[in-house]
Amino acid sequence: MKIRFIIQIMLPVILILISEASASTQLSPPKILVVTSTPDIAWAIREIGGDRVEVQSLLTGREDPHFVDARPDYVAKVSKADVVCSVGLELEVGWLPKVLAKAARRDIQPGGKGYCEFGSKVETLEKPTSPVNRSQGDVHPAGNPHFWLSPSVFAKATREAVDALERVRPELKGAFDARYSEFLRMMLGLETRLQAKLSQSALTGANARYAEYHREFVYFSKSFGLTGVAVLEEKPGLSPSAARLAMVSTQLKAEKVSLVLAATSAPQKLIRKFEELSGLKVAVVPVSVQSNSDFESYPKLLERIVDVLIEASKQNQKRAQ
Amino acid sequence: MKILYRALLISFVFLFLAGSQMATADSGGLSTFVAVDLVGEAFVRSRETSSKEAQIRGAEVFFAAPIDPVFDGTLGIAAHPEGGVSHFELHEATISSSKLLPYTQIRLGQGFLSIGKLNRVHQHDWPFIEAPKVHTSFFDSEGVNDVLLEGTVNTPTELPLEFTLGVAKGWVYGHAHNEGKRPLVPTHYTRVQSFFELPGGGGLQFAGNYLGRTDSNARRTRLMGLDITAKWREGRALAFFLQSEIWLRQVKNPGVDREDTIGLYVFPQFNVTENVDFGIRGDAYSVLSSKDALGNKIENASSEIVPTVTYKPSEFSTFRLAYSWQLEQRGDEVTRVADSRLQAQITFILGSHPSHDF
Repeated sequence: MKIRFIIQIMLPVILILISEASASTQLSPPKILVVTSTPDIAWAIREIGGDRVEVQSLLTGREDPHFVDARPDYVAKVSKADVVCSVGLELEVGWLPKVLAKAARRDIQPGGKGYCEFGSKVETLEKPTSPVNRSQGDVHPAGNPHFWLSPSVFAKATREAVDALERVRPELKGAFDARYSEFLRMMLGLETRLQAKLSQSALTGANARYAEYHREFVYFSKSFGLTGVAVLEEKPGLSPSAARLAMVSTQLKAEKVSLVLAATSAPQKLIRKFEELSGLKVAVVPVSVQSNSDFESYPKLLERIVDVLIEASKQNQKRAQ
Repeated sequence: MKILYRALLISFVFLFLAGSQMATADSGGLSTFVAVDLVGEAFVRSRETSSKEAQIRGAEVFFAAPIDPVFDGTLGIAAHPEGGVSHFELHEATISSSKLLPYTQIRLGQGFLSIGKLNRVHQHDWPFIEAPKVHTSFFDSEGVNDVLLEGTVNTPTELPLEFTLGVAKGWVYGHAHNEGKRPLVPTHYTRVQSFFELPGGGGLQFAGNYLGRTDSNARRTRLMGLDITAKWREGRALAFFLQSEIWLRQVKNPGVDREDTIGLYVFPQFNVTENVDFGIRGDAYSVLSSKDALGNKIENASSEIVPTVTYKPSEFSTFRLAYSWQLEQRGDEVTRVADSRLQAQITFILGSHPSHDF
């Protein structure tokens, strides 16, 4: 009696579960697992791939991507990926090649169908015209890699991820192309909107001149009409001396430049030192999307940067008066 | 000085030859670097009569490039001064692949065995100047280098797991300038590694290791050890770094009781300013099976404390100063400072150094 009862109750349940499982298998093909070096390109690929992709970023956005260790958990994540995307232009050269080699998957290593470098689609700025060596600091021979803070340049570079997704899943080419067109429109719209916001603020003309800790706002400034006049680092990647900070401070006072930018990963002790010397408030801004923050998406990140710049510029101009 | 000149000359000749090939080498992906490691020391108090003058401890020339779409190759040659003469050694000559089998790296040729922590890192990249006694006694002043076949598997799991299995020729073990003799059981080794993320962006890597060998005289050696590495980064700086290894060695000679020896070191290092780190290494070493003529156990221990200051203006040069106190204890004899010495080190790298492990 008991057995009959169990069969009567359980059999339909089991059959329903099996049919559900097979239906879900038929309806939704497995997602493309994408692993990115930085959260910004992870955000862009989510925008393109939608629910067809599952994207993980190795970095959280709080690190300096030049100075990262080849952690074993990165190897574990990368070894499962269908597609691996990086910024490229040697930004991750100190750690990503080791991670890729240890993951030991042919398809996601350079030259593989699942490997992509956003930087390969970028017309880089500050590309050295003569041979570089270490006496010049940490110069990137292929040009400045901090392109993702320009919406238009970043959108163009995202084509590299679209190509990789289409190589891995050719049957979705049409869908990815369509979403990429939408993405381009959205990014250009974002750039136009923020340009308008900046032009309505006091950050125009002579006030649009700025100094930065590291040359990471050059693409941003080109997109938004700012003019870089000084860099706190004497040589890229090397900490500035007190004499260098004093010299830049004097230069900015003489040229009446009131806007100074630095990423949150820049050495805060040196930033404080510069503030003491110059009397200027440095606008410390995030330069990457960060999960569990107010700038989890790229548009919110850029909005935040623009808002901080406008506010910092106002404060410094007031202080100067 | 002759040694210094010869080592430098050879290094620069290699670099020049590599550099002259760069126009074609770029398309072949050839990376070349020269690492120079200068060490000097002054004994403040020692049982030895003289201190070592400043000398080049090692000058290493290294080449790496993809051979074809599947295989990569490396060649590393190092010069070391020994007894007033510089010896040139083949450190690395390997063919390897991370594209042959999924999740698996295969390495064949001459190289350092992928076991423990210090043995896997070239001397110029160590976080301190000299190796602790456990390493010099169980491995070598630099490391165990041999002709080997090695496979490393990284599992595609949520918990990072890395398994290494290797076998080496084993005719010699550690530093030797002779061919050695065919062992009864060649050197064989394994390493199992995992990793945990720590709060605040840190990470802890830990591994269990085993190495075994039976030499031509039926002397059987077994090594079992644990190594850990922890790092916390803040922006560009390595805010905190910890490296530690503990090893147990069992040596059994035919017809003699087994000798058990244990050794460990712990090296925490803190970032003081942007380019300056301070670390302090504590070592301990003891022969557990030491007995007197009557068979009674003799308590014995060697230990060393080594505070170390490191100035690293960039990742390509290091200036290091360390002071070490060595302490010895045997039986009821009161612990005393046996040796104390001041050491200085300068390392620099020319060319393109490959990325490091965690």
